Amino acid sequence: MRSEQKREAWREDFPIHWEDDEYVTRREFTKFLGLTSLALFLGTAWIAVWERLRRRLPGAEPARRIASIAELDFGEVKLFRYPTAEEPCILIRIAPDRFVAYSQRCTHLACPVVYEGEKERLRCPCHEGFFSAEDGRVLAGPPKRPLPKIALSVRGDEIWVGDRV
Amino acid sequence: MKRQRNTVLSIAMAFLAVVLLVQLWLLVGTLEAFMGGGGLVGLPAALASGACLLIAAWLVGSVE
Repeated sequence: MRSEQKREAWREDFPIHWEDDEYVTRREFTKFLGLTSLALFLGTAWIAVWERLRRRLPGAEPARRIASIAELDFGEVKLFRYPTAEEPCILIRIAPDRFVAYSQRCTHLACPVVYEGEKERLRCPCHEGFFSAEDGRVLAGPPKRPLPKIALSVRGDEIWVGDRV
Repeated sequence: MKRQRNTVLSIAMAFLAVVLLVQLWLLVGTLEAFMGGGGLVGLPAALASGACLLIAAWLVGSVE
């Protein structure tokens, strides 16, 4: 009688036969993998939705004046913030009659880039990434994406900044 | 019979792992393109990920 009660007790504690136990554990893990697949799909779908929304939203800030032509000599730079105070940008006079502006955040890990006038390029001192001052494309180093270019316009002797290219 | 069932389950898990790796690659690539302001890659990637999800759902359903 006591041995039968003992047997019943362990049956309650271990209801699954040993040979089936592995199957049940693997099946639960497979279900978990299915849920992981769902989560990955939802993540990708969310990015797709946000991408569409971003293209439909109006520009963050209207055009505004950032400098006068006389402020910068050939090869000089001016730092400014656009479109928000958290977005550092750099304005460069790369030719006597040409101005360009880029986001100052390196596309690798967001370190601020500096202008090297003698080599006509922008350098990221963190990991030695280099970008062309002409068009912001990557010349060397770990960055994979070009520097975002800021659209500029010259009105008289003033330089205005608009939406990003 | 039980051994066969375990084998089928192991094969399903292996396929699921591959499907998950593909979905992870799609997610990372889409995020990279989104952060870089690249072209509209979100929708094709989401569709591909959805197809992977259907395959994963079929695999999970087949071992139930």
